[in-house]
Amino acid sequence: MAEQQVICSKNIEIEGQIAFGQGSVIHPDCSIIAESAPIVFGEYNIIEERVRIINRKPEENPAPLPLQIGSYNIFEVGTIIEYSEIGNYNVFEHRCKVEPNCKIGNGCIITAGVRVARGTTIPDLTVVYGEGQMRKNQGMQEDSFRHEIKALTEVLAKCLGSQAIQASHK
Amino acid sequence: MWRATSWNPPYIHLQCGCGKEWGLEDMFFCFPCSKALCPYCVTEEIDSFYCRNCMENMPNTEAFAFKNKCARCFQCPACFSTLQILLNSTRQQKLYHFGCQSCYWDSMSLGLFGNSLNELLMSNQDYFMKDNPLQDQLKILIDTYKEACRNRRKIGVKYLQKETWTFEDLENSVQPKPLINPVQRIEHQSPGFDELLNEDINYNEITSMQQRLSNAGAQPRELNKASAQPIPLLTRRSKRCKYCKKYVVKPETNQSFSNPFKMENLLVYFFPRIYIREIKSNSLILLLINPTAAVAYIRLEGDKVPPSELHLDSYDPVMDLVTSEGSSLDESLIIEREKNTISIEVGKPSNDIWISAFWKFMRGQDVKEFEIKIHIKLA
Repeated sequence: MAEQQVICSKNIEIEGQIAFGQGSVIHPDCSIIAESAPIVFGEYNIIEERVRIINRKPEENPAPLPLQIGSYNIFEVGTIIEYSEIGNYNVFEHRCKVEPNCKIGNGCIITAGVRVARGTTIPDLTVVYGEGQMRKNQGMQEDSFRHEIKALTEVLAKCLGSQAIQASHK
Repeated sequence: MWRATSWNPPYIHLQCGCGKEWGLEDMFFCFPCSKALCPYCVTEEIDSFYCRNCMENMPNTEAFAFKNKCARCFQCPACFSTLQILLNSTRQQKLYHFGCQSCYWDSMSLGLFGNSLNELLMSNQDYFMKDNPLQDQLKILIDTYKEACRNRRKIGVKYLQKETWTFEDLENSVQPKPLINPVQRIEHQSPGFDELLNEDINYNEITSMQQRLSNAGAQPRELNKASAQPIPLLTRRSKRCKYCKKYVVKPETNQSFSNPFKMENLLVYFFPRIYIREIKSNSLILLLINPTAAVAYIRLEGDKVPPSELHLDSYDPVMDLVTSEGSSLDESLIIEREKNTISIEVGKPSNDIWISAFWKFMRGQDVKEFEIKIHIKLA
């Protein structure tokens, strides 16, 4: 995978203004919809199948702001993300749902099937599990996590075998 | 008692001989008595224990020794999913520890780790070794009551004349010998209501009731003190008819057979499944499906129900073979007949409909016949 590239698969629903950092991988069948304001991704984000990242229309979101997503995040299969602030090094496991106006710090894990309620603030290094209970994430190491994601993007870039586009920012 | 079927109308329930109503899937069938039995009309006994994770069988004595818990598998204290053993290796040493793949709970912070697998398992073994702190006191109590029971049998008559026997009577009978020291009351200041309201608690760090009870030995208040728990064993149970004491359900203890049951006489296999196909203004259409492997007969009796014996063909889905008996005498009552199903129309006097069904079916050479009451509730 060359510098400044984004791997984009087929059958992706993209609407509105969206900016990807370098090394992002977007799997098939996911939808990224910027209805009201742009969505800005950092570097090395992996967006898996059937993920929905939505910045809603003004009537549902009275003060539209650009949806800022940090770097080195994994959005696993079936995740739904609405307008919220998202930091770096986060893992969103299968079918979890982040409702509008949440604040998610760095190094968080939202475990499978968890619904993060509207307006929740999740501090750095937290695991959210069960019915929204939170716990400190002890095993988080940023350096190794960054290396893992970089290796994963290399592999995915070969496997997906689809078009590569130029990253919009670095 | 756990039920497979719902109470939300519209539903179709069957009435057991004891008068209770159950869904078809909940009930059993006893062949010697020719009776449909509800879960209250069977007696259960535990055949063997097994672990839900490693699927290993344990006889009763071994299960008792391990306090009905599996010795090798553990569950997460926070989310109760099965723990995995993880390896945390650095250049200096290898450390095995427990980890939950679902909620990322880790046993490293508790000091629950080992250099080898055996060491890790042994470090968590003291759960089985640890005795209840109140065990001695409990033992004295049990011995006292046992002796009191023996005395009662000796002097018998005087106390047997009493109809109700309470613990006070028991204690009076052994009054002269004070065997147990009375427990001292501990003076404890309970916090006031305002204090409780203003207390600064992070509810994410406090254990829930379920988490506390699963950790019954320690019952920790904070979640970070809760330790990995052995998985409770599940049971294989055989069921007997309450009336003739013959087996109704008997599980297979030998693991080499693929069939998990030696005998499984559930009513679903012998009585037609009944569904409501259509609700009209003053009648409703029922769908009956014959589950047995031979032609069977049903006679329905009730208010505004066609009083006639109808036959249900059998159908083998593997061979795609229908065993038929031609047409019954009152074929006109049947709205539709296809393979092993028939649709019939019954009257709807009210939203509560009671129909008694006489069901006759073949099993091998025998003809079995029994009566059961069907309760249809529409609203």
